[in-house]
Amino acid sequence: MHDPGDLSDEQLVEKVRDENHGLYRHIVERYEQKLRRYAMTFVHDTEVADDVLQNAFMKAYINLWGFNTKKKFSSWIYRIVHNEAINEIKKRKKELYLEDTPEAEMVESTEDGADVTTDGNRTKEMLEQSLERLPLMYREPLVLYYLEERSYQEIVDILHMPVGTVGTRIRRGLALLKKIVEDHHSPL
Amino acid sequence: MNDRRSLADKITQSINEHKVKMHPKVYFTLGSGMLGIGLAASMLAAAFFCGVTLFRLRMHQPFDFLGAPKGFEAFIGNMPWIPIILALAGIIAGTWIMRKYDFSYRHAFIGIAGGFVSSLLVFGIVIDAVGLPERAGESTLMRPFVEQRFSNDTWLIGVANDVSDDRFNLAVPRGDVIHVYFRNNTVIEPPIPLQEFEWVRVIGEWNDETFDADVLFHELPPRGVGHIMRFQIPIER
Repeated sequence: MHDPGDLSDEQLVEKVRDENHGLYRHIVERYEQKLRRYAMTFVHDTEVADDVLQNAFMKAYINLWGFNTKKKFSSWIYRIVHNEAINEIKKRKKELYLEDTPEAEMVESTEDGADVTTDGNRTKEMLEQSLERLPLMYREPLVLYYLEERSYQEIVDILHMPVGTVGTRIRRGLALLKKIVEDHHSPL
Repeated sequence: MNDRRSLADKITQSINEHKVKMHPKVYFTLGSGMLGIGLAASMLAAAFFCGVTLFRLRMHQPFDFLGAPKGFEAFIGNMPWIPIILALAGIIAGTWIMRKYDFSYRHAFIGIAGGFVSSLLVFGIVIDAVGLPERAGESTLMRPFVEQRFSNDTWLIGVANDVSDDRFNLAVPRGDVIHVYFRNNTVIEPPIPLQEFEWVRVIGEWNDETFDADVLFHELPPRGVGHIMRFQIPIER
């Protein structure tokens, strides 16, 4: 019998569906960290991100027969988290959503993170802050491509948009990110 | 107090306690089947009603009425509104269902919608060309969608006969014969004399049992007229 750790995602899904529902635990463990980080792209709150994650894994389990094992499981589960997070944002209708508006960007202080101790930490924090200032439509493909290291084709499947749009958003997102870094973090 | 169990533990417990259950395979198979049937049905309906719309536009040419005196009412009365609405409903439903399919997001929506509408128009032209709307007019079920009125308060469509300088008889579908009188200022488009058994459209007004013509359009008999109209022109020899 195969060790579940040796199986690909898609093989593991087939095992869960056909043989042992309990093996779903391995899928959760494989993706928990990556998806929590991805969910944080939207909600910026670990507890909310955990709720999003739990709902997403439950929905994925309920709809596991709807997954086509000829496709990539990772794209499918990322898509579910994306949908859950968007629903969460809509449901809460609070500052998380407002952060994406240019008006909110205008009033944000540039003095955040003044107490960083090392250059490395400061750079990381600066990038995180700058990313958070990006509108979600640009932030999401950038995070998927650069932080989650997903391919363009996977991003197409996760965000459900044509490959040309993904490319455009990554390109524009980078340009915007550069501008934000220059505007908010330029040395005095 | 916070639940400190890991996410994997919580989910596994929910699965073991049957708080969450996997939908069976048949649920998704049926769902895909229904989606496919819905898409096919909406495409067929949209293509058929595109065909009927083209057929009726060709039969009555409502746009010709525009610009003529009292032409707007004739235009409104001759436009095939119900087939247009049904064709649009089919297009909207089909496009909506297509967006549910996996492949759709990989392409620009405008391209999918454009391709869908273009293919329906081509099907519509083919359906009209092979005479399907006329045949559908034979069916009691489909007749209300295919059939059109051929007379109204301000306009008539039919075949002229018994033509004289000041009047003619107009045989309208379903066998009625209406006496139409020219006025001094009746406009004839194009301005050539009216021939016996010519297909015409007339805009004007009723004067008791007769009709006074303001504008008369010469027409070629539309293809398929014999199927749908059961026309009986009273020929007196």
